[in-house]
Amino acid sequence: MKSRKLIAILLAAVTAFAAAGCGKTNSDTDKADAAATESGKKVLKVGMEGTYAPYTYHDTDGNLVGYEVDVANAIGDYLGWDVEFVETEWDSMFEALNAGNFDVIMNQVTMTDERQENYDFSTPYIYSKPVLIVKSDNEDIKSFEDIAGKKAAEGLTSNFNQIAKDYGAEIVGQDEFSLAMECVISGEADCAINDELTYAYWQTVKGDTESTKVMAESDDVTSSAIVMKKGNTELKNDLDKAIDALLADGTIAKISEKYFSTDISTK
Amino acid sequence: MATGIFGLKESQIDLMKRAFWPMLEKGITYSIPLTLISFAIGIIIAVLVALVVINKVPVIRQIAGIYIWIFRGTPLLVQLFIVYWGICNPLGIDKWIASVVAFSLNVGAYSAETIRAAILSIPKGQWEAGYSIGMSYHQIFTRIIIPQAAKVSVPPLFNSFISLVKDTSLASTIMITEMFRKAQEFASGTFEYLIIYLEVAFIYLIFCTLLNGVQKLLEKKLRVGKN
Repeated sequence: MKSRKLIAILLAAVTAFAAAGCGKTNSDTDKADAAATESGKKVLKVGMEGTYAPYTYHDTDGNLVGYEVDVANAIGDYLGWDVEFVETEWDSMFEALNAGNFDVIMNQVTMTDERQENYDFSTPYIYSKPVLIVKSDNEDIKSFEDIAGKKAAEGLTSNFNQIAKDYGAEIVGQDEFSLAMECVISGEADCAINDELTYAYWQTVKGDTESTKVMAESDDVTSSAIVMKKGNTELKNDLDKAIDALLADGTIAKISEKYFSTDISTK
Repeated sequence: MATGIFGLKESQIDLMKRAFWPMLEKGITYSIPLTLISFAIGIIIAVLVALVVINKVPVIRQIAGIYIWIFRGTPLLVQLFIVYWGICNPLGIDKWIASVVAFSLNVGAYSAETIRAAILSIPKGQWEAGYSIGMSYHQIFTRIIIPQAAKVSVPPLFNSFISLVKDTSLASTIMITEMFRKAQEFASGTFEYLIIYLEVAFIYLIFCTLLNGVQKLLEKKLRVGKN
């Protein structure tokens, strides 16, 4: 019977421990409700990957930088809001938006029909074309139609993945663009469909224009914009107003030149 | 293009130099505390669960069995995701606590079996000897059984401990900026995944080497392998 007593004591200790733990948890919630700070300024919480150059990434000093970061800050300046960034893995991005960890996603999110059914998008400010990338010595693939039955390296929840599937390709799941390129170079994958801007940026940073080539460009210009939960008209109107103004006065064009050496904010 | 040691470009060597301290700092301020706290809580859970199972406490023993079954039988990555996105996030509980909960429960499940085996490895005669000289259950347990069981369980528990150091890299998937997340940040901005990951692997290796040293010291102190 003494063993029972010992266990009873230990269990009581655990219960007390657990209770103490629960008490602490409420103090540190990071729920976004467009809360006002002490200074009375509105705060816009922005979700992004932080590992998706050149849209959102860290420079070698560790600072969060990128096209989306600069655009978000410009919007904040225009509206007089504070902007706070919440870095989240892509696979958890929409989960976190739904859960209210942040107000919007700014991560070059393409406006697909499926996404527009479930989310609101702002005025678009990024236009790009998907391109078909293959290894330089590849002779089999000449157009999008040729990838049927071939292996394509794509991020599993990306719109490029959907395009590759629609053309009948087999998917090699790879979220990191540069590793998708490694797959293409090594032959693990036959091709990759991805954003022309990301590809150009990768070539510049890697200093590698030899190993891969673009075989085809899609005619579908994709538009990307800020994503928010459905039904927040006030937030959408504010963001649209800010983007329209920043497009008109050339602020966004200037940010684009900085990262892409070209203006990606017009069609 | 200028090349340096091992055929690395100068820009790559510069990147490795720049990345080392920020990654080490995250290791010291995030990965190690996460490991220590989770392991400490995990061991408390493990001892309780082992005692419940050994003493065949009704109902709680079945619950403990289900707990071990689930946490040993599902991937840690999935456990982290479910604990954070399924439970803690909707309740407004911080991701730090979520990761400690997931790691503690995971390491607790494995260690419970280690501790159970260690306690059961002490011959029954030790209990009988204790009772025959009039010691209570509590006295026998703390003075005879625990010291011997601790000796037996040090090597396998350090296995779990060292595993946990590296498993904390999974916390990057729930937005915790620990050492591996820092490595991802450096790698994704420069597309130099291989070099940065080799570097971060080296830092994990240093941490685990230190732990290995601690294990050796502890074994010496407890005279593991000697009577």
